[in-house]
Amino acid sequence: MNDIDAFEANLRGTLRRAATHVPPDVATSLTTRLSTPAPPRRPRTRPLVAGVVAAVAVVVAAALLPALLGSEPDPTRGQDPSTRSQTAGVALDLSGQTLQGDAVSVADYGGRPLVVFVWGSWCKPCRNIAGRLSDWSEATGIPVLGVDTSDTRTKGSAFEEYHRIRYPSVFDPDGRILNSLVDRRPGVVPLTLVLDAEGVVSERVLGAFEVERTLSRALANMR
Amino acid sequence: VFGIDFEEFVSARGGALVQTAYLLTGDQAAAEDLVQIALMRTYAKWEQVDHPLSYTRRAVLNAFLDGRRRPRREIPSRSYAAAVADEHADGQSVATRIATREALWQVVLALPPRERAVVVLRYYEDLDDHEIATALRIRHSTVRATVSRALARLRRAHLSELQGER
Repeated sequence: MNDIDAFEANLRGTLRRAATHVPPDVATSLTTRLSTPAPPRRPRTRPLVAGVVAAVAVVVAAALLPALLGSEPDPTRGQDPSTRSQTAGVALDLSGQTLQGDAVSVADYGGRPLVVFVWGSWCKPCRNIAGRLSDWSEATGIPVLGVDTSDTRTKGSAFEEYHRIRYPSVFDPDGRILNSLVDRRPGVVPLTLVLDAEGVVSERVLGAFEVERTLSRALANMR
Repeated sequence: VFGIDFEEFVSARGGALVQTAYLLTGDQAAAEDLVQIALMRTYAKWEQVDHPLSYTRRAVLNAFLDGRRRPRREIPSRSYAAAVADEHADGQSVATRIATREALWQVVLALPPRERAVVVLRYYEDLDDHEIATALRIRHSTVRATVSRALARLRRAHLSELQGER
C-alpha cells in the first residue's frame, strides 16, 4: 500500500515538474485579445500594459452595456462612415486600402457571395485557415476579402507571402474595422463572415474552423 | 459571467490552462492551440458561463480528445526502457531521481489519450471522481476504472525500469 502511495506521490511530482516546462507568462502569447486599444506595433509584447488598457476598456463597455441594449449601436464605435456598425438585414459596409495600398470595398463584390476573413499575423489559429481559404477560394471561385487587423504593414505582407495568400486584405492597423464587425464585444480573431449576394452577413464564425466543410455548409444554407 | 471580464480571465488563468494542456499534449505549441480553441468557445458563451475555468478546461479536454480521433502529428512515444537508458547513459546516480521522473513523464505521455486525461486531472489538477466525471462527461465508475487501468500501466512500466537498473 505504501508502495502505491509513494508511486502516486512520484507521479504528482512528475506532473508538476513537467508542467514547469511551460513558462508561467505563456498567457501573454494567447492570441485572444481585445482589438481596440492595443497599439498595433506590439500585439504580442508588453501584454501587461495592453491587457490593463484592454481590461479597462471592457469594464467601461460593460458599464455602458445595459444602457445600450435594445437601443442604437455603441456610439463610441463605428464612427468612421466606412465601417459603420452592422445591423441584421443591412448590407455590410466595409472598405479601405489593401496591404498593397489599393482601394477595395465589399461593394466591389456585389451580386455574389463573399467571405470576409479577419486575421492578424500575430494570430496563431489564423495561419492554417488563411492559406486554406486561399486554396478554397480558387477551387470554388468564391471570392475572399481579408482584413488584416491590429497589425503592421510589414508583418501583414510577410504573412501573406509566407502563407501564399492570393486574396486581397484590407489593412486595419488600429482595429477599427474589426470593432465595427463585433457589435459591442471585444474583437477576437479569426473572425469570418459569409455574405450573401446582397452583401448581408448570413453567417459568422468565431475562431478556428474547418474551411471546406464550414463554408460549403454556409453557402448551401444561403440558397 | 458577471464581474470578471474575459481578458482578465485569460491573463489570470491562461498560463495554468496551457500548463494543463501541455501535460496532455507534451508539446507547448499544441498546448497553446488547444487552449486557444477552448478560449474561443468560452468567449462565445461568456455571458452564459458560470464557471469559466471549469468550462474552459472541459473545452480543452474536448479539443484534445476530439483531435486525437483524427490522424495528426504523433507525439514521439518512446519506450520507457529507452527513455531510462538515455537518462542513465552518462551514469550519474545523483540524477537518478530526476531521471526517473523524466522517464515517468515519458510513460505518462505514452498513455492512451483518455487515460492520460484522467491521470492529469487526478494527479495534477487534484480533481475528485465526481469532478473528473463531469469534466470528461463520463460515469464515476468509468473514471475509477480508467484511473486504475492507467495506474497499473504506469506501475508496470515503473517496475520494469527498476528491474532494468540491475
